[in-house]
Amino acid sequence: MKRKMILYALLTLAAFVMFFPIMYAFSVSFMTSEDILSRRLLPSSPTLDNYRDVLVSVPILHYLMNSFIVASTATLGMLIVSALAAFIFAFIPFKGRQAVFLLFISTLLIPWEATMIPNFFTIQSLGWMNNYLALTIPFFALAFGTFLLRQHFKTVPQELYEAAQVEGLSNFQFFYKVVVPYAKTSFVTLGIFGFLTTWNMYLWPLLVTTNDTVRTVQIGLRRLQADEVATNWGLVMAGVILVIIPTLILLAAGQKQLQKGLAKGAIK
Amino acid sequence: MEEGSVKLKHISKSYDKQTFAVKETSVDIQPGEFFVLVGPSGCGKSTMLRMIAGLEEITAGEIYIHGKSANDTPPSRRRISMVFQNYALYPHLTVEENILFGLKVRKVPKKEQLRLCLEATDMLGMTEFLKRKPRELSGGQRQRVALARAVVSQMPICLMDEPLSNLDAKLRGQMRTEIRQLQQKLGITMIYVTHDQVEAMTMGDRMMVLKDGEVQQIGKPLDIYNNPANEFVANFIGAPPMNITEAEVQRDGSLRVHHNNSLTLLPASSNMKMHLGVRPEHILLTKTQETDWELSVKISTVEILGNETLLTFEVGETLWKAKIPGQWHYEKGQVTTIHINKQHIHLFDGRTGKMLPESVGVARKPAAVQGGASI
Repeated sequence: MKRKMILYALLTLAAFVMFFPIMYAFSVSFMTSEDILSRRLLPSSPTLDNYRDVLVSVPILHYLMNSFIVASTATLGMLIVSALAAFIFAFIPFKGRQAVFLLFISTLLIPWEATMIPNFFTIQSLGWMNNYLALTIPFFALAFGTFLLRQHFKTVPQELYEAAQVEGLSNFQFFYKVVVPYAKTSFVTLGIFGFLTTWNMYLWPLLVTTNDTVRTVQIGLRRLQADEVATNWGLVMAGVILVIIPTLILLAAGQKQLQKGLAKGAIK
Repeated sequence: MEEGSVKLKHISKSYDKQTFAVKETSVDIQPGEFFVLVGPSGCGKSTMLRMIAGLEEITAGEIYIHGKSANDTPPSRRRISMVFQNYALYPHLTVEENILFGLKVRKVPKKEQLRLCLEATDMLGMTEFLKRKPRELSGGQRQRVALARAVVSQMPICLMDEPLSNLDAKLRGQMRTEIRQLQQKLGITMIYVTHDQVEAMTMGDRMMVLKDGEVQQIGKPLDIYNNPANEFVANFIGAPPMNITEAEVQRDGSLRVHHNNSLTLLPASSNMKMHLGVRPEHILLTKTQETDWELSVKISTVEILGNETLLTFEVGETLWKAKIPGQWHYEKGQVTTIHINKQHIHLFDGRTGKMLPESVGVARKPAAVQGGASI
């Protein structure tokens, strides 16, 4: 009992430390400028002014929409491309498959920033600046995703593949009728990972957008921060909270799925 | 040739181009036959089944299914069904969906699907489990789902790869009978792989005994039991295995086993090194009219199973086993005499292990030859 109490106390403390920035941001978003300047922890008279202002001063809903389109498209594309690649690596034997796979995986060693400039030139010469294509297509082929899915596909018993062959399924039918449902958990994991990564992207969208048409919300947030006059932090934090909400919803929904998947494996 | 037949012509399989997994195998499997491939693990029996299924490429030779060459036919076009050792049920589908999976792919009309599914599950007593997922079923029930899947496919040939090896002994005995009855009811050709000689003996119309990728013998279970082609088959088929001992051919042309009574040999037998084999169930403890040879032995262990007793005793340097009906009490180290009918003696070539032809062997009493239809 005592052990449990200590454990819970420590966990609560750790959770508090972890969540403090977000909680503080939440609190600040309801404060007036005076409250912020006097460094209060809680707003003296909670106000929704910041939220109203943020909606008026920048096209935040437009940015959110853009982010949503970009993150969903990139996630979907990534899932499809990674899954198909992983399927080949897991099920279709060909000469040098192992070597190709290793080459594929070794791209994990190259940081994204290192390829940024060549990628930028490619996008530019394709004329994709200020276009959703520039924000989504470069993220379709993901070595990490392919690796993750391939590892899960590998656990599909070989007999299932053979049984499917005997029953007359084509490779593609086997892929979407058996393998995809079998590895659903990994798809959810990878989907959440992909969505959050693209949602939080900052540098790349900044590079390939020059106006507001396809600009994502992370850059929009930056725009709330004034460069020359004092920043209205209440306004910025209200924006931050608006941006966090969709990701929190996604996590909550995905976690349920994840737990379901995990429990499924445990019983079997 | 008829539908449902499988013909192998000099089939070979090699994975590394140096050693053979299956070597020069030829066999004709008739429509409606229950054909068993049996052998110890690693003998190539599963490889052979997988070649028939088309899951494994054939290195050399020809295969004919339904009378047509099938070397390049993909598995789905061979009109076969297959039951795997671990059942290969789709874990995300219910029993019903699992059973109907193949029919849906082949676009069989919905009504027909339902009728076939009910028919098959009824036959296998699985109707009440249709909505369950495979993980909610016991091993035996999963096995039945796998069988039902093969049944609804209505394919003229069914291949089974050690389907009973994951079940407990009691269930195995039950499923053995069920599979055999099912095959007879449907009249399909069954090719069945097992390492269990009991399954091979009880289920098969004919069987093929394999060792190291080479066919040892093909024939009806009883013929193989009574006339094993070589020492390996003699040892593999039958439990406990046949007792095999080295025997010396004396100068006078008689055969002697470890200083016991010598046996008179037929004239053609001279100058051969021989191995002598006797099945444990052919050893008697009392002299009867049938027996015409006796050996003095030293008991080493006694296992009383209730309905029968397993005796192990020393015959010279080798250990023999005897299966005697009833309960017998012996002391360890006790010396006793065993009685054998000469017609139950098998002789094998000492070098090749092959069974010796009829002209070579033990001379028998005329009466024994008359009564000995089995050898």
